[in-house]
Amino acid sequence: MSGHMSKEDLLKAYRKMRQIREFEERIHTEFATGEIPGFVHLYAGEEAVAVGFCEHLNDKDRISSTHRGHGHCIAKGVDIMGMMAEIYGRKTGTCGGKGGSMHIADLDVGMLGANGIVGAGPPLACGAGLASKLRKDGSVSVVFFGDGAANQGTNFESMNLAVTWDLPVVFVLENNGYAESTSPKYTARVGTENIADRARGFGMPAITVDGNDFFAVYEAAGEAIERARKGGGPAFVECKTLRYYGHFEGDAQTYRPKGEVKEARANNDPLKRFAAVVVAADLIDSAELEKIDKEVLAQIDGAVTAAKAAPEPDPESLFTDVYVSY
Amino acid sequence: MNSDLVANSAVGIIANPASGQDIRRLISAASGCSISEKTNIVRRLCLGMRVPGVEKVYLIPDHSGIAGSLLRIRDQGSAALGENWPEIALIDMPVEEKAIDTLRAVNLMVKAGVRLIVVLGGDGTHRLVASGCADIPLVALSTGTNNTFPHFQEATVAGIAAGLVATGAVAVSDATRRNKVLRVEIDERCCDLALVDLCLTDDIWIGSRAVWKAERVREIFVPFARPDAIGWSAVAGYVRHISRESSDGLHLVLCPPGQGLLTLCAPIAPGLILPVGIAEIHTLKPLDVISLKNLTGTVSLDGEREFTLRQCTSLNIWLDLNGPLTVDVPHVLNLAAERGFLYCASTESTKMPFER
Ligand SMILES: Cc1ncc(C[n+]2csc(CCOP(=O)(O)OP(=O)(O)O)c2C)c(N)n1
Ligand SMILES: [Mg+2]
Repeated sequence: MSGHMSKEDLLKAYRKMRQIREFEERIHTEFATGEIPGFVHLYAGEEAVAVGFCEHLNDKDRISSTHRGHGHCIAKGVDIMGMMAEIYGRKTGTCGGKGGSMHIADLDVGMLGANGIVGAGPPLACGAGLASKLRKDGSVSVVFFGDGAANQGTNFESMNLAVTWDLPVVFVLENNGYAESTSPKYTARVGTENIADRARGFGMPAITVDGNDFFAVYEAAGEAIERARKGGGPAFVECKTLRYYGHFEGDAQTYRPKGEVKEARANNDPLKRFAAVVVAADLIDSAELEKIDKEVLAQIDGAVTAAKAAPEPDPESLFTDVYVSY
Repeated sequence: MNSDLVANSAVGIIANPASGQDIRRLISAASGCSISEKTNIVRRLCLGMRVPGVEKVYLIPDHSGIAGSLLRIRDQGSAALGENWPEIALIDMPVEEKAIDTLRAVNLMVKAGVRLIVVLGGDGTHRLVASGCADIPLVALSTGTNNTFPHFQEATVAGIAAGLVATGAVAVSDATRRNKVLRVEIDERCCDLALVDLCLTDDIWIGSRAVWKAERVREIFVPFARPDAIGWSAVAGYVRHISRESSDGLHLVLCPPGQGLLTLCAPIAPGLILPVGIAEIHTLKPLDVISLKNLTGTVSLDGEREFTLRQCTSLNIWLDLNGPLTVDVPHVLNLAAERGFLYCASTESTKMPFER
């Protein structure tokens, strides 16, 4: 467990973080060309949170996600080719090109879906957690949600329900300092610094970690997930992080302090910090990391090329996947 | 009351918003302390300090956190409950929500001429303050149950004691005691200190900082050792009681439980009691430098991993008797009671002592 990642584990985690970063950087560039339909919210800068948690999960474990969901999808193992095609609205996409960025879902790997409704993830994770509990299959659910979502009634109800029913659910708050343009400092009295303060009031252990430090997230995630898996009930982990891009692509970001992102990219970048730790500890040399960087770059490049070349969904497909029959 | 009281007595308060929030709430039954509760504690401190006449309190300007809430609570408390507050001054400094805030604030408080600093936090917060406060006395208060250096004490009472010292009603020489510290030097450059314990661990990263896996701790150094402590220092306390006043420290080399000289069952975090094997026991004498080389892993200071070591790192550790001064709150209050400092002006008066 924590503190005992093999070299293979470390390389795998780094590759995932690099995949998320490269995926988002590329969409940032491609979106500007106008070729991508709909809306995208980028996860760049927050990679350590999704990967730090999902590295402890298997395909039976489920996650629920947000409008900023690409990172969660990649970390949980959704196919990158399918994701890119989905974002381009192509037939080969994860959801047949009919969902787009905010609805990527893949139940086979336990990804319950990105979600355009802020605060919709916590009840979904509780539902999945209830299923795990009733089936006694040892699976857990993890809900990623933002500081803005933390103010939604759905989230408070879910925290209360998870504690009351002892559900194997881990609440992962991605506190990136902004809900669109508003800081959590202006939207509550309790939780202006640490939103974890509120969760404690529901009766579950709640902690705050440096969300840009992969190792801090990974350790906390390991403990919270193992606890839930063994029947210890829900826990809440607040990860302090920062998004590198606007709330959505096209956001003018006039609410941000000048230089905030530049400073973070230089001194608080989750990938750079990961690399610094493993290289300093003589666990991995930088050439191995650079090799991964190159491979990932080629992979994302391939995904974009394939997505652009893929066909659009047939008009008839409008009538499929609308209702689920039980 | 003493006639040569200090005019404009000012006190600094360092209340760490991040204390009581770390992974120990997940891996053990450690108590948590919310910002609201910390704000409430600071309020009680301020009201206590006002009794002997503290005029001004300096705080870190975390407008969205403790300081911001405190100003609101002050206005409400003064208006609705008639509370008597000292002036609240926010230090002019940037807030980064990192340890650097504490270091910066202590520095600026010292420059502003505070007579005393009240610290609200855990062992880690106290360590940061101790590294910059020189001989300004500290009132060391714990925000939770997980600490060995500071005491868990009602803030109103601690505030009164702090005020008695800050105003000069009780002399610093009568009120304080000197603490021992461990100094650590890494590669003969970076120097740091530990107030409670220094551990060498097998972890390869700092990560979530806390140290709770007994099998990963190789060596423990402590400046004092009490069996009623919590944390790694308790392990040393079970081996030998070394008071905070004595001039010794202790160095233990650990081994797997069931091997070595003895095996202890020690409370290394609240509710987390683990067997710990002891292989070697050494007394630390002041300024005897323990030099270590060829280590990998991390160095933890006061329960938190701080540095990672590489094969080539050299480490010097020694006991220094010249650590920070801390106020003995019960002793100060005893003196004040004996000397009648806390009486109102007369039996007919209900004025605060300083208002005479
Ligand atoms: C129910 C609902 N209300 C409002 C919105 C509009 N909206 C989209 S994202 C967002 C802010 C979310 O902030 P946060 O939860 O902090 O997530 P972040 O964008 O920072 O990742 C809002 C208000 C929405 N999609 N759904
Ligand atoms: Mg946010």
